[in-house]
Amino acid sequence: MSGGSGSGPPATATYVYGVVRASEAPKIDAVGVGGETRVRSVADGELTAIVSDVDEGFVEAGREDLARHMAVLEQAALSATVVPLRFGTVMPDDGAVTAELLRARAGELDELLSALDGRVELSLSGTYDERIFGEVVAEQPEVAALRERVRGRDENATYYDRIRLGELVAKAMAAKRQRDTEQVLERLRPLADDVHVGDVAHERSVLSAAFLVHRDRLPEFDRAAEEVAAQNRSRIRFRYAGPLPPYDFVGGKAGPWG
Amino acid sequence: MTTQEGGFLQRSPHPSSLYDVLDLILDKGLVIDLYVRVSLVGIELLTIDARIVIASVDTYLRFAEAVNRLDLAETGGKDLPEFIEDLNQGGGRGKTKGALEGAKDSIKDVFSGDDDDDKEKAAPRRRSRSSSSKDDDG
Repeated sequence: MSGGSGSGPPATATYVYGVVRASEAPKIDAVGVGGETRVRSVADGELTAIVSDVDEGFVEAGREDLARHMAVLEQAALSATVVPLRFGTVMPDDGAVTAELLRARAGELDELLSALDGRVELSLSGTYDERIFGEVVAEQPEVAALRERVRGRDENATYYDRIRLGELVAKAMAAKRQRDTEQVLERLRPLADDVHVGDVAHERSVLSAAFLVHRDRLPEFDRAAEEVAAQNRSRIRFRYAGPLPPYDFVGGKAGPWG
Repeated sequence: MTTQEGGFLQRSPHPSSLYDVLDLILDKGLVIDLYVRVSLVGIELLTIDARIVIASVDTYLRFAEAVNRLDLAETGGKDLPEFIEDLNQGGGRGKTKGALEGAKDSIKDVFSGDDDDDKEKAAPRRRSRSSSSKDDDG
């Protein structure tokens, strides 16, 4: 109570992390978003929401709270099939969670839980190593020639040549990206129940994909991912995360910015 | 399972960098209409920035610099596959710096709480227009 805000305690609301089947409801030992309360649950019929108390208002998308949100869902996913909710879902109170989530959307939640049953998400993203530029120079005579022309020359004098050079490289990389993405997906898609390919996040990204995989197939998927990484070891660095809650497979709409 | 020691995959039980976390969860998950209350100060701009940068002049100049940096001539006449192989063995780890880290840093900057300075840094660098009197085709 010490160090309270001058105008009395802020009103409390209920932060919701996700929904599980009541029969699987996990015991979660974690600090909730905001860092001051413990994670608990709100049950209704066959569904249980994983929640914690937060101050009313907006949740800032900061490092710590994003990590808490993820940690709670990951803990839940260890022993249950979980429908993750969007980060920052705050309902007025437990009653609203029951009425407007667990009851109002019971049918949809039940369908999702059945579809996701026993499945987890694996996230795979790839970034081209700088050595990819060597490939481009070797494969594209025009790039090689232009490179010879601008190398070691004054930056200002070669400004437009350098832009042209970079544009050709970008074009070549886009073609590579498409080929490489197709190849990776061709290998991994048969092992997944669903795949979500995200936007390329930056200029040297190859792909960013989420795979919904049944736990039984994890070892097989794992080996295939390893194989893909080995085949591309001199050119693409792959990052692989999981098993994760199925963030990408619960029908989330596009983000607030599109 | 995924904890097995892998050869070439960079593994983690969960995404490690903030950039990955944002990418993974920020716009994912079931939406309960009216109840998503996220304050996104600064993030929106940066996300868009990171996504459009692929076709910008700034990218072209960075790519040009990257191919110019390659030291093909000094590999003693080795052909490229051999050269790449050498690089492999020489350990290219940590060589991949640049735009990716740039984007991550920008996002980290936002999380560190400052604003105006970081927006400047995050925005694509503007090239001086001093050479604009030249024609585009040189």
